[in-house]
Amino acid sequence: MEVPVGIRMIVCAFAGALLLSAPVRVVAHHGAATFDTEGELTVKGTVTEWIWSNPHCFLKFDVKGTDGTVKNWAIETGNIADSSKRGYARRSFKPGDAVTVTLQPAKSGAPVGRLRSVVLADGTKFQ
Amino acid sequence: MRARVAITAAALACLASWLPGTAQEWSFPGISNEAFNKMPPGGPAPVRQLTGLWDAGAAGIGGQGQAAARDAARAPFTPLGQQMFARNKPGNGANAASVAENNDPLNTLGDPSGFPRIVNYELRTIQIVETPGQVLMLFSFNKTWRSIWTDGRQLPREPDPRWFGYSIGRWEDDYTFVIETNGLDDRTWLDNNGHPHSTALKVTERYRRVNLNTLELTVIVDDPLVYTKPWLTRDKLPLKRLPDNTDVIEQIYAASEAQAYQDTIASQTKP
Repeated sequence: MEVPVGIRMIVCAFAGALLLSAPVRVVAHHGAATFDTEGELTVKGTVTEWIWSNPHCFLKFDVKGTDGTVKNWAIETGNIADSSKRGYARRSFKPGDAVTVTLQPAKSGAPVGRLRSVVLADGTKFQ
Repeated sequence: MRARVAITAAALACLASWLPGTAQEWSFPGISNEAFNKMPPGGPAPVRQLTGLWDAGAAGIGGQGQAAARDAARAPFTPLGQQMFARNKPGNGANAASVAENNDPLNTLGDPSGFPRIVNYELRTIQIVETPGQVLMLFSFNKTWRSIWTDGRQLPREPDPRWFGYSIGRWEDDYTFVIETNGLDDRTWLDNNGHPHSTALKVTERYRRVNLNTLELTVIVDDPLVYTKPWLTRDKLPLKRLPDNTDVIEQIYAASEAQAYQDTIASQTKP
C-alpha cells in the first residue's frame, strides 16, 4: 500500500520532532568538586574493559602518549538504568575496540574522569 | 479508504511511540522526560485504587528542582541535627563533597536506601500491589519492597528500628491514600543531600489519584530531635502510570560493584 505524500510528511515531521526531543542526561552523583568541568579533552585509545555496573558504569581504555608510554584511563558514566536510556548496553564496547573519548578529567591528575562521549571506529556515538 | 487506513496507522504509530514499555519489552529502564510529559490523563481517577506500575521520571530520581528540594535547603535543624548534618559528606546539595570524601552509606558501602530515602531519592519505577490486608510497594531501585498494613493495626509504640520501619495505611477519601511510618533506622539518610534523621522520625505520605494515569506523592518528615518543625521532602510529585506489561529493569547497588567503583575511580580522585 502506498502512503500518500501528505501522510508521509506528517509522519516524518513527527519523527523529526521525536529525534529533537532526545533523552535528557540525568544528573550524576557528583560534579565540579571532583572533575574539571571546564577542561574537557578528547583522546583516542583502545578499550580494555567496559564495566556495566552501579552506581556508575565505566570504560577503561589504553592511550598511547607521544613518548610511547601507555596510560590506562577509567572514565565513569551513569548507572545502568540511566545509561540504558541513553543507548548504552552491556555489550556496547569490547576489549580491542578503537574509541575516541571526550571526557572531563579528575582534578587530581590521575587518569580517571567523567565520560562526555565515545565514538567507535564505525562512527557509532554514545553520549 | 487508503488514506483513512494510512492516517489510522500513522496515528497508532505516533501513540505507540509516546507510550513507554509497550510491545513486551524486557528490562524497561524507566520513563523518559518526553514520555512523561506527553502522557495523557487517560480518564477519570478510579475510586480507591493504587495498583499499577508508576514512574516519576527524572524528578523522582534526583529530587531536585522540586519545591521540596528548596524546602530541604531550609531544613530547620536542632543543634543535634546540625551536628549530624556536618558529619555527612554527600555527593549532592549545598553540602556536597568530592567523590573521594563522599561518605554516603548508600553509594559508598552499598547500604540499603531504607525509608524514606527510597521515595525521596532514586524513586524510579515502582509497582503497587493491593492485597486484602496490605499495600505492597515494589521498588525497581535495589529491587526491594515495603509492606503497608491496611488491616486496622496501629503503629508500634516502642518499635525496634528497621531499615524500612513500620507502616500503616488508610484511605483519607476515595482518591487519597495516607501512610504513616515510624521505627526507622537512623543509619540511613533522608535524601542524597545528606539530611540526617533519628529513630524518633515519623513520616506521613499522601498518594492522591489525580486521574487514571497520574498519582501525586507528598511526603512530610517529622523528627523533633533533628528538625525544629516538620518539613516536606516531596511536594505533589506526579507519578505516571506505565503499561501493565512493563518489565522493570533490575537496578541493584551491589556492594562488590560499589567497591570496584571506589577502587577504580573514587580513590583516584583524591587531590
